[in-house]
Amino acid sequence: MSDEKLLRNLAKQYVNEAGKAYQRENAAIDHAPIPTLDTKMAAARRRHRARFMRGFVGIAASVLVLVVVGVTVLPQFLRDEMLDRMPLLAPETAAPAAAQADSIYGAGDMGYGFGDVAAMEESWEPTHWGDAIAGAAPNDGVFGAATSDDTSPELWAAQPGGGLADEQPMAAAIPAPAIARVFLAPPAGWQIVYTDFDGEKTIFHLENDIQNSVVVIASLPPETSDFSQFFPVLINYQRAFMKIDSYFSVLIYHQDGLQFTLTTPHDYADLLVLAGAWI
Amino acid sequence: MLNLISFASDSERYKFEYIYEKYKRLLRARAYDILKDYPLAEDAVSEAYLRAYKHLHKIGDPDSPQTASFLVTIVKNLAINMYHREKRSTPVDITEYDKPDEFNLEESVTSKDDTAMAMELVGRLREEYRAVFLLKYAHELSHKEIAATLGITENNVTVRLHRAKTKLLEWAKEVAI
Repeated sequence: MSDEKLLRNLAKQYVNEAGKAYQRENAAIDHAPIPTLDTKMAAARRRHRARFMRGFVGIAASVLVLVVVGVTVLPQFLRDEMLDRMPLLAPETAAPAAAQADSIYGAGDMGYGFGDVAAMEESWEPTHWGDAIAGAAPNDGVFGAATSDDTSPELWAAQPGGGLADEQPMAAAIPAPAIARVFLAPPAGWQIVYTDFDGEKTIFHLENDIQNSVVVIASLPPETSDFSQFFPVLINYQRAFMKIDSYFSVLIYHQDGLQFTLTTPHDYADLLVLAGAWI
Repeated sequence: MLNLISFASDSERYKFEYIYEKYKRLLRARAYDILKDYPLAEDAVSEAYLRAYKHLHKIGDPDSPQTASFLVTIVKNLAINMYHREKRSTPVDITEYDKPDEFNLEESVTSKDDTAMAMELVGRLREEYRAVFLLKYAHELSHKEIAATLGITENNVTVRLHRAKTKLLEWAKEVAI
């Protein structure tokens, strides 16, 4: 046997025997049962998997909460915040008013002359809006009692002395504008034809950008010189329709033939600015 | 410590974790026998595992006697090295552990068992020679690897190995006679 081989044998035999002794010693030191390598590896895998799942579930839950908040709570919160900045009418009051558009805009008779001045052209759909104009009566309420025998019953439900006037004492003190017509979501391309006292016609084109909007054609009483008095009423409309996610456009006709359009996509400040400019 | 080591694969990591858990108490006890100081013994064990990790691919069965011997060899030498470094401030008598294992020539001669003879002959070596010898011939590490594992120079490895071989061959011839 060569020296190298002898040394190798000595080394391996020594290691083998010494190792057994070390293992016995180790077993004596460590009384706890030692798991096998397989169970050890399996346990390690389980730990890693559990750690991963905890992280995954945590992230998923966070994302879900964010999505739920983003989709449900946040828009409502922002809308409420916006509405709360409008001083005239609480959202809770405006909401039912919006839902009952046909009862809100009850208009009186032809007291202010716009009862039959506005009419739609051929594309008008009377089943929705009626083809006659609700005149405004010089009554004591904001929206007056409708005597509109020539109006669309769906839109101009008559509530003598009632309407929002009963629900909005603040608004009751404001001179009544004549709400000539309310168009909910008029399709683009429609025309609104307004004929004044002298028979002169004015055609308004509804542009694409006012789809899904609400157009209110209103007139002011002849004695109304302070346009600002009219605004709280318009704002009420705006608030109401904002509640149903609509844009709000107002076409205002004054007795002297002036007309003005307000398109206020959810922006009360814009409305005021425009009003100030007009006044 | 396990978090500080990067493993090439999960199986390697599990293997090392297993070895660590299984032998840490034994190695700690061995290191403490030499150092008589728990923190130092812990350091020696950690260092031993770090060095063993570098040769993880050479460790076959974690449950084998060779693995236990390999780890003990490393930790004992590291502990002795640490002892020498701490010698000035730690008056510990290490002669009990730095001397050859008990060897009874007469008994070895009468023994018919090669394994017993191997235990006796190799056991006679001083620990510093025995470690180099075992790492070379039993665990098949290169001189460079032995030097890195024990924290000595390659020249020192060569010298120690030469002396260990000379002694062993000399004793083996005596026994054979």
